[in-house]
Amino acid sequence: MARIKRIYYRPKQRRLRWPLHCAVLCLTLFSGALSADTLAVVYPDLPPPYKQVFDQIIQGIETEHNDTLIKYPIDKPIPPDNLLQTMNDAGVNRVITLGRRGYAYNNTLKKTYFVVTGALPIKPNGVSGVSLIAAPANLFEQLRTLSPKTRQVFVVYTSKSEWLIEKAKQAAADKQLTLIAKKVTDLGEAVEHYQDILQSANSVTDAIWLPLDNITANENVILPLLLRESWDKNFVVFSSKPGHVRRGFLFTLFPDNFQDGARLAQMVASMKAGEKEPGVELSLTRRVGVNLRTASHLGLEYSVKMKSSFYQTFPQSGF
Amino acid sequence: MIFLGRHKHKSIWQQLLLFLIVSICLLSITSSVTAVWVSYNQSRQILQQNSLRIADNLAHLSVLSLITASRENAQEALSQVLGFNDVTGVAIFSDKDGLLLKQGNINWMDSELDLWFPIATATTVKDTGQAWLIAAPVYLTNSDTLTTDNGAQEFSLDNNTESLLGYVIINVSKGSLVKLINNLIAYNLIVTLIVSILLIWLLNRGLRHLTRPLSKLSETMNKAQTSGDHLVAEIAGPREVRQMANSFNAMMNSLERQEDKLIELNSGLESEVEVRTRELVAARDTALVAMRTQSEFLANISHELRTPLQAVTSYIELVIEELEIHPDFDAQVEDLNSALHSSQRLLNLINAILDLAKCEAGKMDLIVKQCSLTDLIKETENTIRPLAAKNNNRFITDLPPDDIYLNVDKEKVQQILLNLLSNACKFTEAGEIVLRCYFNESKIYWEVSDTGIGIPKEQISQVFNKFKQIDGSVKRKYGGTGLGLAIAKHYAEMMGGSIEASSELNKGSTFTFWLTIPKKREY
Repeated sequence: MARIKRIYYRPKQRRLRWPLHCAVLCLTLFSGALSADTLAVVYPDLPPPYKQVFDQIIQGIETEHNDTLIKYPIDKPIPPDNLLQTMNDAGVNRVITLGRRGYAYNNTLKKTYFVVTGALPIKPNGVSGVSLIAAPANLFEQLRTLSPKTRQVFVVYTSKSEWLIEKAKQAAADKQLTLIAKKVTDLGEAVEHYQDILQSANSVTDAIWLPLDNITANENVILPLLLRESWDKNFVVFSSKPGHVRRGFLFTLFPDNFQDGARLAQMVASMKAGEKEPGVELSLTRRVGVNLRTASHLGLEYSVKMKSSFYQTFPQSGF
Repeated sequence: MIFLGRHKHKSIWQQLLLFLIVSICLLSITSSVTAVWVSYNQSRQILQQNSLRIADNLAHLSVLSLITASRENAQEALSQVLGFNDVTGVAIFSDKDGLLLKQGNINWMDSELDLWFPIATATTVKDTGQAWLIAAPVYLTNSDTLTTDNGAQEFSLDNNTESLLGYVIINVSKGSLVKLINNLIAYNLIVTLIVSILLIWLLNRGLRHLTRPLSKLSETMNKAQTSGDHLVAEIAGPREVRQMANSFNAMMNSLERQEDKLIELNSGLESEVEVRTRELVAARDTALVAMRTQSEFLANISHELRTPLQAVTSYIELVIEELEIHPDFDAQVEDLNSALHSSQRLLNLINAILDLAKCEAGKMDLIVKQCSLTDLIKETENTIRPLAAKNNNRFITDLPPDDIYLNVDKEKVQQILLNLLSNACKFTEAGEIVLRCYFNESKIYWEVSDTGIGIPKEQISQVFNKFKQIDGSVKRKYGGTGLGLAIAKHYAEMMGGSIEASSELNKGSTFTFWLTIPKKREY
């Protein structure tokens, strides 16, 4: 049976008060079942640099959860019932699952606890949590800033991204942008539509948005095609996937882990408080990563102040 | 070793050079073949791996064309791959619709496609000897190739999936490989040849230099053997050769010393032999002179004795004849008969001494004539038979059935036989005397045996000595001069034969006289 590492968290403000600290620790250990606010965080035990992502999320959680927090880093898969038993023994009453390994326990844990999920591009299908997918409103806001002449945004999507497109249409309208969305069923159709867009669109006022979709943003087919064509025709292409900016698209939004962690803590607290399930919330991150070489190729120039506000720029020195 | 065994007559330098040349050649050939073989295999492996990668890349490039079923997109992918030197033909197959596009030199049979596919990775599906046909599957994947590790997967809900779109086949020519191998063989051969020639030249010089002291030593030894001189070898070269030269020189010095000593000894010996030879010659000459003088003296004295004795005998006979007429002188006649008898015995003795002296002085001549063996025996028998009868002895002859003519001195042969037979008659009483004659190979034998008193073993070797009878009593009893057998022996040896005697005391004696006769016999 795999080892479960327990890490008991103690809030910072109590650390210097040693006598009280000891008393609280004893109380936590021996009367955990009686504690009202014991939060468990189940997350993958990964090496750096991925470890930092979960550390940042947990730090965010800690800012919103002042009570006991028990970490369950999962090294190797363990039977869900064992995890459940361990949590029962520790007096857990709410759970945040992070990453794919954490999400795997959702079905078991949500029968017993209030559960929210983070660090995954979740969609509204019965789970609550913060999705890794950046909110289209924030994307369009960055688009207006980084490519002010853009008026029209093309997006090709499949049924899996349909929920997002509905939100995006509204967000685009709010930012005085026109979102032209085309639903496809397979990759061939997607290629065809992208080729049509590239043939007919205006490179000055039009842009292409790549959603987080493994068909319409296929890494092996669509990406090379769009990269080549957009470079040749000076098209603005931005993506919901952080890695794409490194490959040559104009910009993307990087997740704000700390913020997402805090939001997850709030969500699970509200659920515990008896509020209805919050469902899936999009990431409200504004951490923009910009490919300056692509921007330069497109004739987009940014002030020093703007550049300093970018979360990351590409190409990075040393790459 | 077998190879070297056939060249034993060659010098050590030649044998070493031959051995090293053969070794170098073998080494060069082995290393060249190995190098070419290794290079060929490595190049083949590299080319094949590169071709597999090209096929994989083509598969990757063909995804778009297969998704869109677009020949234009396929054209672009194929043209990139056809840019490689070894790729002479390319084809893209859709999993659903079959051949999408084919370019360049590539052929297959439809039945082969069923054998080749499906495949999971790039594979060499056919090796025609001149080219490889390499196929690779074309998969559509939804994973980001940059973020496929476990950590990145933790931030995604989608599983990596692959769907087969089709296959690509490339025809990779082995022309460059063959050209490479041909070049390798040619360069290897040239380099090996040059290096071998250089090595052989170096070895030749080196070995000549190394074996020169040995060759000089051998030459000196050979010269010493053929000339017989005691030559001294030069002491040079490696330790072993110097040791050999030292040993050879020591041996030569020793031989020289020994030879000097031998010459010294030889000269001393020669002078001594010369002195001894002179002494011996003098002694021989003295002995010969003495013997001749003795014989001449005996001959002369015998002659001088016989002449008056002959006269005495004649006169006695004359007086006896005159006195026999008158009966009154019977007593005187009897005395005169005794005197006559003694005179005749004395005459016989003198005749015998004269014959013996002649023989010893070498003055006895052989008168060889042809005579019949039967006549010879018959005459002898006539003479002997009365003598045999005198002592009541029985005389028997045993002759060959056929007569034979012999070229011999008949008188002397008869004299020998008479001597032997008269001795037998004399020493045998009421016994048996046998004369047996026979041939054996090229010899004729006369064997005279009796059943008389015999001769003791210790005295049998002396019976042929002159004036020798076995003891005084015998002489007194039987009489005789004791010269008969000595003369007979002399006669037999003069005629190239001999007489041998064997006897047993009180049982009898056997004397065998033999002569060599010519092989051709006339009857």
